[in-house]
Amino acid sequence: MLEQEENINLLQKELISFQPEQIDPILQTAINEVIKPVSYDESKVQQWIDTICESCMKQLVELQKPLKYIVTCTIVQSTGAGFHTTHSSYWDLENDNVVQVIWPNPNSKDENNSHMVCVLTAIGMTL
Amino acid sequence: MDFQDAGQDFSVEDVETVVKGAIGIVLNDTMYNPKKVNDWSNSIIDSSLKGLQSLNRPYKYAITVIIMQKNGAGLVSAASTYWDLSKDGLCKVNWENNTIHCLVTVYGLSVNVESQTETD
Repeated sequence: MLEQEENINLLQKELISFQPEQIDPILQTAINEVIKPVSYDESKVQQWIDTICESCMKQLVELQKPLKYIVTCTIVQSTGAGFHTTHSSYWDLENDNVVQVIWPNPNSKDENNSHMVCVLTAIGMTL
Repeated sequence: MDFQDAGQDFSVEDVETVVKGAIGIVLNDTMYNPKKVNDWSNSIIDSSLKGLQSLNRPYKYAITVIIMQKNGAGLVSAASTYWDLSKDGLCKVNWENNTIHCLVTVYGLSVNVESQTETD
């Protein structure tokens, strides 16, 4: 009986909490669709960022979880400038979470000729 | 935990004051140094969060700090949010000196403060 109860609790938790494994592919797809094929273009960056944020937010809302979301996207032109970003939060440790995707992936050997770095962060917090 | 002023809106001025104070203390009179950037970020975040906690409001916070060396590179940042329009808010603080750009964003999401009479 106890095991069944535990299983039900885990399922319930999955339904209402922010699961990084579910969210990571959503973010990766959004970035790949918009900026993988292009080079840094000052006139278009604003549009790319808006598209990425909108498509991520749309898919997060479609998950229909009782969560509030924040999606942040930063694109930096690669000119050798030092760039450092940090994140910290004060929230419900069990159910809230953050997923951050950096593109291009520093560990992969993809061609990096796009001259830019994109950092996409999704935060989910329970109501 | 007792919160003062439960139901108050997100106060941008108060948060801005806390964050500006934190940045000023950490980055005052500094030149961009890649070895120290990590420590600077952490210090700014720590003192900002402590200051926000001491405001004693029923909010959860998420803080993002971006520190960038000034060399003419372009940077564009955007945020999209799905939250309670009346109570939640964000505060952006931009700070710079001759060699550093610092951008701190604080997101505050309100928490429902339930009364103690809820039964299981």
